[in-house]
Amino acid sequence: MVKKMKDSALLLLALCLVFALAACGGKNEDNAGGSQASGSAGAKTTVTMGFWGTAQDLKIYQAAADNISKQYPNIELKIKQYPSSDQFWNALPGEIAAGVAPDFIKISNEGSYEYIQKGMFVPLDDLVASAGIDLNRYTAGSVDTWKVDGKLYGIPNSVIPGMFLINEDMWKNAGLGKYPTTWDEVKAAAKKLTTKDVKGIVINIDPYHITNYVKSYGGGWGYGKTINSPENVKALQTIFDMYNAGVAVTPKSLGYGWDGEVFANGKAAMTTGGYWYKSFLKDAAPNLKYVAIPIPKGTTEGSTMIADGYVVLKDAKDKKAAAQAAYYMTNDATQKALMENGLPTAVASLSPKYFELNPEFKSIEPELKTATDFAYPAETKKFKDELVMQLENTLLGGLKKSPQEILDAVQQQFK
Amino acid sequence: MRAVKTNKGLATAGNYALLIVLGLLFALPFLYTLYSSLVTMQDVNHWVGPSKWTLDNYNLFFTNEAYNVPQWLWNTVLMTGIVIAGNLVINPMAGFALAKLDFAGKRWIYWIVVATMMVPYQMILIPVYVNVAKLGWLNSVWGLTIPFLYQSLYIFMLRQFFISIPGEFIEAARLDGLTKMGAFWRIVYPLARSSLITMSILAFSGTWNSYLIPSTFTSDPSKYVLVVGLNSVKDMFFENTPLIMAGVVLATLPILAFFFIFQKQYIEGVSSSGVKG
Amino acid sequence: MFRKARDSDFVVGWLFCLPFLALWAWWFFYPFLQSFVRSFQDANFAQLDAAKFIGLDNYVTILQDKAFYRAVLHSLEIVVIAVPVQTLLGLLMAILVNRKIKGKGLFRTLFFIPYITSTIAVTTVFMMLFKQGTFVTEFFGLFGFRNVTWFADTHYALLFVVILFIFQQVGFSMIVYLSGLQEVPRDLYEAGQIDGASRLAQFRYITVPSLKPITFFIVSVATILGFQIYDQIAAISRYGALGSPAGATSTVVTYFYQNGIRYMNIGYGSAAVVLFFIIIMIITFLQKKLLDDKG
Repeated sequence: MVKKMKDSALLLLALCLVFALAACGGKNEDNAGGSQASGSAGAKTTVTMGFWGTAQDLKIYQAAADNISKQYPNIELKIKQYPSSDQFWNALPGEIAAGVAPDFIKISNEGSYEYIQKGMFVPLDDLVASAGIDLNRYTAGSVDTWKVDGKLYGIPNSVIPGMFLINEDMWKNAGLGKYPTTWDEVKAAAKKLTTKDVKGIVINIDPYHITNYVKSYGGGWGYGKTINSPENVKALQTIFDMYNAGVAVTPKSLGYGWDGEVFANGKAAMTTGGYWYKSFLKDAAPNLKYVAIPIPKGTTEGSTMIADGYVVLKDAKDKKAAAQAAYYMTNDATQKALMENGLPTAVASLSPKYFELNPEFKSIEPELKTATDFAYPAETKKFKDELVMQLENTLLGGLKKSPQEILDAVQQQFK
Repeated sequence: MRAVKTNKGLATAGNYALLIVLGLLFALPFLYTLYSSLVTMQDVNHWVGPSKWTLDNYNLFFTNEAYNVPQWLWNTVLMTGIVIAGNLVINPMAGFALAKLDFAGKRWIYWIVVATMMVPYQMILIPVYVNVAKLGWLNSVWGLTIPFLYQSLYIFMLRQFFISIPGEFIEAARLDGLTKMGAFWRIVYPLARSSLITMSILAFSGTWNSYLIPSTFTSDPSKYVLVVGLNSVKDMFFENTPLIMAGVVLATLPILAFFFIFQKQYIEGVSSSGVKG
Repeated sequence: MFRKARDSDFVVGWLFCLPFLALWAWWFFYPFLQSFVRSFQDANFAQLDAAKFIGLDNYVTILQDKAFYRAVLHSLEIVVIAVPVQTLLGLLMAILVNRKIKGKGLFRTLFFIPYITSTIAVTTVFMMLFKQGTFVTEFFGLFGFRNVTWFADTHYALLFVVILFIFQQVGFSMIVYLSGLQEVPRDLYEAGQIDGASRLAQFRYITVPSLKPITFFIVSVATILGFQIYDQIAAISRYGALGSPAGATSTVVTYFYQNGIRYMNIGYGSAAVVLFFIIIMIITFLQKKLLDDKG
């Protein structure tokens, strides 16, 4: 008993030690704050941009940072590279608490809505005029991608519709003629393209791909309001039909990570895809001949708009300077350099040049008018996980649920 | 007599066969990693002969100015060196106290050690990050080392090792006029050689291979450690498997060398001869 | 008298633990307390300054979530399979490479390789091996397994993760046992030989008891690491949702990660970790009662 009491007394002592240390930490915080305030007294405003991408991209952004003083003499731009988007979001809360978070970042439209809804980005409408941002510079669709509830949250950087890829040699060897324009034609072709070792089409159980199907039936997620709409059910039925007919396969079942690998290795003749497949296929299958066509029609013309843009974080120290620096990233020289790296552009005057440089995507260009944003629910990541889980349960787990049942189950969680 | 010898020969052959089969099985992932690092992306999923192998993936690390491999290597050596040095002092002391001394509060400390292992690091990553940032240790070797100078896992391990050291050693040392502290540093520490080697090997590979912490606490490419730097080499939308694998090989070889050298240091049964002498 | 006090177990014991405790308090306990407080908050990563105290709501919600129980069950399955296999296999391998044989250094190194090779690389290889139609899946077919891609099948994916985990971790058990074997006093064996004990008897009555503290260590660490398994699961689901396929490989840690980090609901995630902490604490406590009679 006495021993127990001694133990507790010691624990108390240890706790006191902790709080003493914690108090020290508190003081440190004040010091850090003080030194920061005195540091920003100079004439130049330091703006930090965060991004995740390749070393080549870093080089381009670094060059832009070196030149920014020509247009904005008061801005000093620093570039901060993150290994991946996950790493960025994991580090951000700590960075904000420590006052070292970037002021603006480059982000894809596929996940941005969630962060906008959580209030992480600043609406730019008031800044557009004062920062001297010319929104007419960008293609109309690209600016709309960054509007939520009538407010603008991002400065467009790149924009391009989703697409459908076909292995040209397989197509010709199967004696097939004109490329498909509807899913019914795809289904019929898939049947002919399927052999012992090759499936007609690879369908990745991934929200990006599913969304392309959904849009081609005039459906969409409606930010969570229309998850189980009849159009969406029809789109999912098309996917299920192809699996059930044995002409479609998931990358996982073949042991691959994603559909691009299946396509590159000649295990499937068709897939939904995007512009980045080009740089992948160039390395992974240099001899493979493929064509890119618009997403086939279900009941209408429709596909996803893949875009990225620059958003200003709500904790940015100087929001106007951050918006200006973000705007500077879409100057002609930087955009051209990014284009050389294979990235599409949202700058209207340069857009035709992209399709000149990438003639295989020429047939996609008209879709810029019909492609639309993802419109995932505000809890985007949760929605994606839930959708994938429900689909995998049926397609990989042997649970026999119909498209209607699956979408109803997902809808229930996002009322 | 002869029969016994043949039996023994057979047993040895059997041992070797087992070892070789197991050895190959365990080496397989690394061999495949090595293979993938030597081919181009189009050959990564199937076998091609040596005539199609290339060192291009490795060359990229050493020729592209964006990749400062020597600097990253030095950062890694520094980080690992400091962490191991700390672990070699702090862990054995605590482990010894928990194994061989009897004092009020010991049970609490024991459970603190055990409980600390159970918390996934991601849970405390953000507060730790803020601590590091407040001290100005982001992008600095201190942020990567000071919080990790002790490891509760190894304190626990050393405690378990020290328990089996016979108490006679310490008593003998005290009869020779050494204090407990003296007995620890002069007698127990040298005797615990093989367990300290084990700890060093484990701490070395753990620190050298660490990714979560260094990738969160450093953002300046000149401060990257090897694993983070090699991982920053990738394409935007897909994984360049051969390049990643070349990075894995480059990062793993030093640990392999470290292990191969230090495993020789295991010397059997040192502890017992000391008692009698 | 003064010297005696200074050399008492109490003073030396605390002095020896002090460096650890000081670092621990600042670099572990204080951050942990902060996270612990979060578990009673509705705290979003995006706006930590707007966190509100909500009492036990997070805990109540978790305890009503079927996915949480599923994750706990998966974690327990992993531990129940992986811990004994890893311990016994590690001991066997340690004994094999502790013999006086040629090339033992090489074999030790080979056995240790999976432990030090990055999880992504090992996982990639395992994914190639456990595809439909490879010699591995065909071999398992002899034991009644269907010939499918294991990590794409909701029934086999967890087992796939367990095999992968054991394969990587067994090198750890081996090397700890290996150094444990060095510490077995040699005169015990000498005495045993004089008494004419067979090798099996020596193993049973000398080696096994001497290794008891180490076995306790390996079993508890394997249990804790088994509960914390994350990298392997993240690697097989890196193109899909965590715990893929369809949550078949979800564990307590992926549950925390998904809710706390990915969905940015750090208060909820922290509460999950606290619950998870209580579960392992109970198990470790029982293990200590069963296996470790010293200290």
